[in-house]
Amino acid sequence: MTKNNRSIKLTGILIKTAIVLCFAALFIMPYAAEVYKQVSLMHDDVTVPLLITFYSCAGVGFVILFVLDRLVANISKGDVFVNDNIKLLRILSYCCFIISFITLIFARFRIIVFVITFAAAFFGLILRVIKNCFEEAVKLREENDFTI
Amino acid sequence: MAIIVNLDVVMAKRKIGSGELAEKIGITQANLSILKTGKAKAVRFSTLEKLCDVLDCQPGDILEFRREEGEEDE
Repeated sequence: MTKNNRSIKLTGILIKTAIVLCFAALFIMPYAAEVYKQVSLMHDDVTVPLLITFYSCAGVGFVILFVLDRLVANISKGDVFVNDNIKLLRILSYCCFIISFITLIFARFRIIVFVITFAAAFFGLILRVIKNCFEEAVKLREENDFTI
Repeated sequence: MAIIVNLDVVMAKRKIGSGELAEKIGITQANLSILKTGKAKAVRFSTLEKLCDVLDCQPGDILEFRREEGEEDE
């Protein structure tokens, strides 16, 4: 097995582990929110907004993880610069912007969450640039494939 | 497409088949088919040189420029 194949396989395992952990977090989160309420130094109760934000983000998070899994599967098959990957990168960037928006709403309760808002928006932006690079790469590959 | 590939016409004149031509110029039959059907985006000078050599013709016999409709100078 080449070093590159091992790396792709490891990425695939990490993504699947993340899916399992996120799934477990769905059940743990109500208890975690209760614990947070008890240890929080703030006096306001944000359990409900926290859970709404978490479960909204979790849905998008699962989409991100499954899209990443498909992206890695495409790369492992050797299909790197293909239109399907551009579509997947576009979905990933939109998901980041959605998470950014959701956390922006919650940031009015806890200003520190604004860090996640900023990070998600930044990731979304980076992914859009990578998607644009892939679009150009697909054009170059097609030109190369059809040069006789 | 503005550039028309008349490879099949030249091949018919020289009575040469796709398999034989592909073998002589060292490309696959699939690539020769892409060239014949006008799906190719570019042709390497080396390929064109071999085509002209094997078919004993000029590049102009294989490639032709035809202005597309609505492309006339204003």
